[in-house]
Amino acid sequence: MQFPTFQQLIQHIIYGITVGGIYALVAMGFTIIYNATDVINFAQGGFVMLGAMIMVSLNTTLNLPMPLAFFLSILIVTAIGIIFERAAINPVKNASVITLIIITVGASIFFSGIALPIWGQDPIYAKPFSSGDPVSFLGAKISLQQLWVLGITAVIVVAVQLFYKYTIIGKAMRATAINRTAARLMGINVRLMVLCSFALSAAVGAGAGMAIAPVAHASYDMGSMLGLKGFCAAVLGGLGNGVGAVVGGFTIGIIERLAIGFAPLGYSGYKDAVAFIILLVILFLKPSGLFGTSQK
Amino acid sequence: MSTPILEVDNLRKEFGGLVAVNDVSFKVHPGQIMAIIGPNGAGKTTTYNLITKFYPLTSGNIIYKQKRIDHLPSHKMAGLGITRTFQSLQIMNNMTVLENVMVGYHCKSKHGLITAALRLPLYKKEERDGRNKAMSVLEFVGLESKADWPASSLSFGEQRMVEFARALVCDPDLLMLDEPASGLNIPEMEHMAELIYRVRDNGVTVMLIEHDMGLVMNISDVVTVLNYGQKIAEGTPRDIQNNQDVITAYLGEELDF
Amino acid sequence: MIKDSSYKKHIPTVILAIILIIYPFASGNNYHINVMTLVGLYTMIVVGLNLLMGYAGQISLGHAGFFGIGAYCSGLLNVKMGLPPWISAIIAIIFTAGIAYFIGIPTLKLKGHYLAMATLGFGEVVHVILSKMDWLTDNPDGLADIKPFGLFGIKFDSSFVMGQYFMAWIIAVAILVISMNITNSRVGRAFKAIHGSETAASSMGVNIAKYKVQVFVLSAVYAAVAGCLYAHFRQFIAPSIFQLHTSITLVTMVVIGGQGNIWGAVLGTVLLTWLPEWLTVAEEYDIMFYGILLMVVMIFMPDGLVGRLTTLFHRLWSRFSPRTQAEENG
Ligand SMILES: Nc1ncnc2c1ncn2[C@@H]1O[C@H](COP(=O)(O)OP(=O)(O)OP(=O)(O)O)[C@@H](O)[C@H]1O
Ligand SMILES: [Mg+2]
Repeated sequence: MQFPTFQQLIQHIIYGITVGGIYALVAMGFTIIYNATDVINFAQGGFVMLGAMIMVSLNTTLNLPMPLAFFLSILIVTAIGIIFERAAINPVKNASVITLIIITVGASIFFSGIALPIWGQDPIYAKPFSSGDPVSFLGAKISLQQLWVLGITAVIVVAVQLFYKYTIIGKAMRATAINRTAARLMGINVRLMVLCSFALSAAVGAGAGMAIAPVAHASYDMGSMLGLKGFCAAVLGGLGNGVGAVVGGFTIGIIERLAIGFAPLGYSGYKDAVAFIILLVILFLKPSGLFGTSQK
Repeated sequence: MSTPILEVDNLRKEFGGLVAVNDVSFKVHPGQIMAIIGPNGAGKTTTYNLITKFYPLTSGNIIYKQKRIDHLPSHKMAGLGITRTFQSLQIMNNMTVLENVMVGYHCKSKHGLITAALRLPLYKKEERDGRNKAMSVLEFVGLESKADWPASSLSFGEQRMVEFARALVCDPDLLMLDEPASGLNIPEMEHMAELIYRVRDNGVTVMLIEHDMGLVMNISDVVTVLNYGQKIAEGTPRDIQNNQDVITAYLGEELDF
Repeated sequence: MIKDSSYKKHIPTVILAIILIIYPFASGNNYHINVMTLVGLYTMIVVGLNLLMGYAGQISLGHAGFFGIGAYCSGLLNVKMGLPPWISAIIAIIFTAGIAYFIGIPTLKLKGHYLAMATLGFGEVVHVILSKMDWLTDNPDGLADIKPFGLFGIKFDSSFVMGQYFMAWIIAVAILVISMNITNSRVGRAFKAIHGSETAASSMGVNIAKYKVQVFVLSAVYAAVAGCLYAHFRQFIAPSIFQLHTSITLVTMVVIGGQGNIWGAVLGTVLLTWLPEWLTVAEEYDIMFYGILLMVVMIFMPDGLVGRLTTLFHRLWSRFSPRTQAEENG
């Protein structure tokens, strides 16, 4: 065990919060789809990766200004989410858990299989959203891109909550999540809500990918680990619980970082196990997660 | 009178605030057909689930063959000689009819993984015995010709028979039937009634939950009536038909004695 | 009353054995034979997973973990402690069984999605641990210098392609036969009964928790056997194969072959192991096509190939068999 200085500690926590924000967004993506369909979408990481890669290409190759690239990329990934739902999820009726898992895994393989020939194997360079010196906070340094990540996370979380609360579609999606049969009886087009959930989830995933692209290695396989960590976060918060997903994301991000901070020299490589150990502990002790009430 | 085979003493089950079974006591004597009747939601199935340990008791005692059994897990029941059927059919759709019935032989046999993997003599003997026993029970219920059919391809009535057969394979002492005739047509129901009789004549004690009053009054020796989780009457079919409380409990429902 | 048709059920086994014996001589291509050896190893794991998923109805997305524990344990015992490969393999298998037992008890209380997630988490933890083993392996890439199996003075190293092929398949067929025996027994019926209805199974005296753990441990043991063979065949193991991707490929082999059908397991394994080889014609688009094929097969044949072929066969059969037709109409 090593003991970091206070300043290092703050630095770790800040970094944990940044990464945690991304996990939170990925977890939210899982939650949105799980609520509408009971599908665990293993292709969620694919949306994250596509969001990042498409934005970088629009920005650097086509020289579009960053904000335009950002929104275009969200639109494109949302469209991909919609196509994915129509082509691969909608046609299967009464599929078992395992069939759906394999389909979404197939999709995630498909996404990286497309990205590989287009963008190659190596990480591509993503410009930070704004240039400038890092800011100091309690002696620790926060890069501007980290602030962007936090800002974008906050905006997306709030926007999704507002969407659920104040739009007709959002309300209908919530009703569908609570009770599908009742929603259908009330005249809600449940199939359409499933489609919307894939669209929304893809958009959220893309947002996460774009925010993190400049601080992480943006590459064709960046989605797989992020997807799995986000998945752990979703379970930690209670699968299907939106607030839980966000809290779970930050929790895992911070614990993971602190584990690196406290780990004896040479053991920080085990950090990737932290999220999964948290996943196992929560499943064994309280499968419904921190905020869940019962096992669905 | 003989010592009861099953004695239920102040059985109680609460689901949250709802008292599904409210301090119910009764005795079942060997060789009897004992019916439990009552309106929908009276707590009949819950009583079965308590006796067979699918739910933990809130309070009460269950004494079977003069031993308390309320601390045992549900999978020990068959070994003790208590088997049951289910109101909502519990057929294994992934198995053939014969295999379904042979699952009932589980507690009569004991070979394990390694014995089976290596086909040791015990495996062969038990497999042969189980198969023969299952076939004879299928013959008894009239399904021997469909032994190798997937259970899912049978009609509803036949599936009820499969479940009945499965509960008989291990030669139970106490057979608990939960609405065995529901969903059956008249000839099927008559067949079922006759089979229940014959099972009883072979010395098996039978508990029966049933909504069809004709069937109940015809074949049972003793009837217990539950309403809102409470026992409101007990007696011979004739007593029950004339019991004012029972008639009130069923008021509004068509009673077809 | 019961016809002794037991010779009939051996027909597929005999056919498989004949094909397997002929294959290496007919092929003559060492690379292809090596792929088939790998198919043999995967078959062991997939047969076990099929017992777990197809028969007992329990999901596992972590079996690459058991594969990896078996491989690393046997490899390390051999390299670090100098134990002979046969001994290290046996210890590794027992060790893996122990891990599966302790993981299985809490894990198998979970159902559906939650079971899938817990097994996934287990598999990933194992992967991370194996990836960070350089303090033990002295090699950042993996574990090297594992000794090959030896039998009567013959070394089953990578140059002895035929030897590895036959050793793998003799063990795989043994596992197939053992597993078929199990499925046709009290234990196998208990597995199936748990899948069909836990309620009914338990009322018939089946100890659900016990049999779930039993089938889980059994499938882990099969994976460990494959892992040991893999380690001593390749003589070098890297952690990258023992991760989620492989777990899911294994599960897909079960599903594509057909759950609840031991022969389906073999078919699914053959197809999915060869698929990447065939897809090399698509050059850099091979991964993409692999993904598409997974989706397409699952969308159109969720019961797997054997299931699909059986339904087709039954449909043809009922069309041409007057007896069944009369029954359907009557
Ligand atoms: N698992 C459970 N959780 C909560 N309440 C339950 C549960 N099982 C039964 N109940 C309630 O307990 C009461 C008794 O139910 P039970 O199934 O025993 O009735 P029953 O007499 O078998 O009725 P029926 O004739 O309709 O089968 C009902 O109000 C039912 O809703
Ligand atoms: Mg009932």
